[in-house]
Amino acid sequence: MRTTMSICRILLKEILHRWRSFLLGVLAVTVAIGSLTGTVTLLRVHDLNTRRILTEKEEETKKKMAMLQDEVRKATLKLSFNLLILPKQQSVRDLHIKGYPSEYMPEEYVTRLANSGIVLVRHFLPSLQERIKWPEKKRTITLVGTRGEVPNLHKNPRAPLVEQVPQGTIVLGFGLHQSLGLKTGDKVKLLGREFTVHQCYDERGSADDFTAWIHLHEAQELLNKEGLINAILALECLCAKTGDLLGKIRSEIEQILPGTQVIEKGTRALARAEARASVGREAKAALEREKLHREQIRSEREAFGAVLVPLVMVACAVWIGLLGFNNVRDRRVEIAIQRAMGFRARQIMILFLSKSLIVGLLGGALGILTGLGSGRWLGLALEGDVEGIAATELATSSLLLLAVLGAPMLTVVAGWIPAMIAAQQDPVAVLREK
Amino acid sequence: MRCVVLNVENITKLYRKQEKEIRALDSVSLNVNTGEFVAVEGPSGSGKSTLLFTAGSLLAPDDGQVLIDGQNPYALSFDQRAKFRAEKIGFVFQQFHLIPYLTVLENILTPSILLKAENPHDSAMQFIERFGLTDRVHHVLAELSTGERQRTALARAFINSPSVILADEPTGNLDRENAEIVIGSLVEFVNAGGSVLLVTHDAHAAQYATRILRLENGRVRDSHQD
Repeated sequence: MRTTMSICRILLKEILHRWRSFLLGVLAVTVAIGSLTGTVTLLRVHDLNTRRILTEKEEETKKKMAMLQDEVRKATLKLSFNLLILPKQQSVRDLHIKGYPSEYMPEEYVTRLANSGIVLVRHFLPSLQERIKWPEKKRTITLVGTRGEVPNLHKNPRAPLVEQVPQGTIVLGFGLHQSLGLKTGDKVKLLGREFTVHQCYDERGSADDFTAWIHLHEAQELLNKEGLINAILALECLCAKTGDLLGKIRSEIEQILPGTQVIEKGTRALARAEARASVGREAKAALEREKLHREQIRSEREAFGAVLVPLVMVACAVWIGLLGFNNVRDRRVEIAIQRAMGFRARQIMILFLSKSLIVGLLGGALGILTGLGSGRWLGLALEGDVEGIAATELATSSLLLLAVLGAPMLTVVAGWIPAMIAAQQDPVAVLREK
Repeated sequence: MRCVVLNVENITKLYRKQEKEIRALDSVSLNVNTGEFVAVEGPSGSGKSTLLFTAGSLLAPDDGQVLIDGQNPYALSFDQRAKFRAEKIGFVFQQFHLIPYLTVLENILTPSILLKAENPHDSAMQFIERFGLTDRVHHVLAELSTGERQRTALARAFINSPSVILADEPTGNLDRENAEIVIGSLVEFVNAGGSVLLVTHDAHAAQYATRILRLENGRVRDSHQD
């Protein structure tokens, strides 16, 4: 076989001859690129896992929300709600501005309703309300006369929702009994009639705090409204499973009591929307919390990598440089004789830098492999399940570019000064020493 | 007709050590013609090696000039001078200076990288045969005897067919038998029209020279011809 000598052959023979130093160089690059790739891979595993977790959580939340919304819908469907039956001529606008109805209807309406056989309402609460001056106490209050609930005679009897106020007694709102220093059992005069305080309500934070409740008939007498009321509160109106319930009840009541109108007290739709929004908000907040938690873990790892990777890179670059210097020292005579033979400085540089390049390429490739492996392994240890993450998702083009360009660049830069020294070496000085 | 291959003209080389100036070569002149074997004798520190490196275009003189085949190598750029050296000069050293991880054949072929010589492999194999290295072709330095190493170094110096061989104590580490082979090869090279400048302590080696120069304190003291 014919042998042809070339720089490349010298290079390979030298690598084989000094394989330990070559392997140490490759190892240094493997460690440097491996630590960088490992860190990047670990972060990538984290990102992919975060994406997966968040997607799963989002899906789960969506399902949960749909389920919750359904439950809320069912729950709100089953919830009873209240209606207010008012005289037809009562302006709803006025009602909201004044806080009580100003028109009247016969008290007999409530009996008519209770006997009507209406199926969607369980209780009726007739009331007479008026804002009055309480001359004995020099206060303006809302006086409510109520006779307690009138049960629907066609429904199974149930415990009343509201206790009736016995005749001769008065129930006081929080603001009234507090400011007047009244307590249960005290005697108090109202519009010239004496009442015993039957009950003192806790604070409700509404107009109720400045309201007094007495028996309906006493209120009718005191207000000169015998036989009249101005509202019937229909309690525990049951929702039908489908359709426009309010419309059904309205038309049913209006058929029984033609001179009335029915309004909803509090909006069921609003409650439902609020419940739904609340579920949504909670789900969103939980997702945000998870996202934040994942971001926090990522930034901790990133900060760790930002310290570790440059340190390892610099240490490896110094190590490669030292190996380069050592290589030049070992090959001083060889370089001197090559220069004496006629090798140009450029050819000596090529000999050394090519070796650095091979170290970089090999170390880079091994670094990528070990980095991907260790990053994935570490990801598995820290993240738990990463089985769903394919290797192709981790070996990105930028990582491969790093192996192909970054690692050789690192070794060539680190080996540049030793190569320069080798190329500039004075052959005479070395040959004279020998 | 004999031509001057190596013309060293009135060269001076100074070494400065701290404040002290050492005149390694002091106005040395010599010519080596084609087919001439010139030996330079002298005690250690007389300037023999300096003369060899200066003549070999490796060490520029402070004064005077060197011409090889009529061309002043020091007037050339570094790269041109390196190529010039590869074409014109063959070096042989006492310590052989073979590349340790290359085989005998590869060591001999190394200078051929620098010139686009035709069939360097065949030439190398001829030298290998001539120097009795046939069974050592693929052996590396550590597997060779001292004589084999020097014969390999000699073959390497001859491979590019240089105009002149500059040999620095080539027999200094050899036994008589191997010294005879080396000197014999140099004589053969001279007989084939080459030129040799041999720097030596060895009077036996010097006796093969056509001309002997004695160098003392950087000056040529006397010169005698066979």
